[in-house]
Amino acid sequence: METLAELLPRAGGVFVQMEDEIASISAVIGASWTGAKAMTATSGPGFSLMMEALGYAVFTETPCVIVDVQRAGPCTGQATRVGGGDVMQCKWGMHGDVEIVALSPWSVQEMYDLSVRAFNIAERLRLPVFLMADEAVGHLHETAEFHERIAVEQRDRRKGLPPFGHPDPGGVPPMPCFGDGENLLVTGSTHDDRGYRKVEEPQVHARLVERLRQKVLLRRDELVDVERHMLDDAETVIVAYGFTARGALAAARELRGRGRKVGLLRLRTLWPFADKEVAALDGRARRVFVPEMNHGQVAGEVRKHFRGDVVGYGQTDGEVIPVATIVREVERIS
Amino acid sequence: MLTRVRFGGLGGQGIVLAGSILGEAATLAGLNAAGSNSYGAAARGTACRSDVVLSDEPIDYPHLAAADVLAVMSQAALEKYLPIVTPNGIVFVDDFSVKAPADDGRSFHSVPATATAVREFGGRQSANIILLGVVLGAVDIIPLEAVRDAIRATVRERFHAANLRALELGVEFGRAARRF
Repeated sequence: METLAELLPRAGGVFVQMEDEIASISAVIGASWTGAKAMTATSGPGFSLMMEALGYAVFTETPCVIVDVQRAGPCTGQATRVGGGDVMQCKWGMHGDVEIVALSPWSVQEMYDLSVRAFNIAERLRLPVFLMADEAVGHLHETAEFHERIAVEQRDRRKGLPPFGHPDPGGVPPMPCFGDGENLLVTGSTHDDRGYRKVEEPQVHARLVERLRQKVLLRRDELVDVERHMLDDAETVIVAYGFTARGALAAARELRGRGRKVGLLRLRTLWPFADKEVAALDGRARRVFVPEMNHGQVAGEVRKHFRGDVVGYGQTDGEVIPVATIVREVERIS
Repeated sequence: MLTRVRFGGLGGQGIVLAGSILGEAATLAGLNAAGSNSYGAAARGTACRSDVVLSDEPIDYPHLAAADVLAVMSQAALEKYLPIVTPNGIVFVDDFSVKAPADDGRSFHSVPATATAVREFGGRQSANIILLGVVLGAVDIIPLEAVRDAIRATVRERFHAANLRALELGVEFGRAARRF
């Protein structure tokens, strides 16, 4: 954030420090409605504070990017130590039924690359996209390559069309912005295609909620991004994400060196969940091991889609899961 | 070759800065570097460490489970991190605040980082750079010119001269340690 405060204005951007996280996410939503690509970053209870407004962003179809550098919770917890307990919160922390997109970086390079991807998805689908980092990645310094040119999704700002409705099941309406000369009505109450409040018509609510869900679900194949390492003959597959996946890859290589048939399915997208990719392990792998810095938030999802043994390993002591621990646990269950 | 360096001490001593400069210097010298810092929520006084992994190969796993070099500015850091120093490892302690342990086969060196900073610069602020210089003088990791460039790139201009001088003083202590 300190770096952004310095660099963004130099690049023609605006950096604003708000009084708290509720104000920050609200300012991000407002900025997005002026046509800006807007983001904020937070950690711990700050993420909890943003939940109400994030529901507003989902319902008003406001593109924005939220970086959550997960730390050891609950509550203030250990403010500078690592955690991974917000995986479910980014999906279910808002009330109501929502679908969002959450990405999981494991390196400095991916903090950059996935930030670009997050903005492009947010603009294309008109929704909040979460970059679910963790403290270990947040505090990492390493060599990274910054590209001369990046692909930038331009927002569809056409006027004269319904800004909150689309005939297709998962259609994304154009989003004219404040100042474009369009009469815009943006509300967190149930609204029709034009933005007028319709808080007593069941079919309007059902249609809106369903289209917002289908915006994500119908595009799951383009959104779900996994990396497969040594899976071809793997009897034990480690499913991991974030910094833990980096330890898992080192562990898998070490275990291969000891003659164990171990592979890694790395989730670079957390939501929508990689259900098909996990299900594809069925009948090939004998067991799946899920190390994570929470008590089974992704292991539970894996169990829904893999019918064999799923063994979770949760560590919530504010430290990353050591490579040696993953090696030991995989050997113990193999 | 893989070299794993840990700086340890207390918040406010410049531990994170020492690690950052080392990592920056490594990348300027064409090496791969990965660095991680750990510190408390308070700006001063809580346990703090900075890890740097340097390699001419790409670095798959950026954290260190073992250290080839440990440089500490607090007794607590020495006691906490000594177990991860490899049998051939080398340990530097600032003699102002840390008592070097009894010899156990690993190489221990007590250096007057803070004392020199106070004497030469009238304050403790440069002790971290002196300690960084000690590490670089004792272990051939990176050409010193890259470290000087990293200091110029990292530290505010009005502190360049003092930091470059602190680096040289540290390197001299480090070279002396090498002869043991």
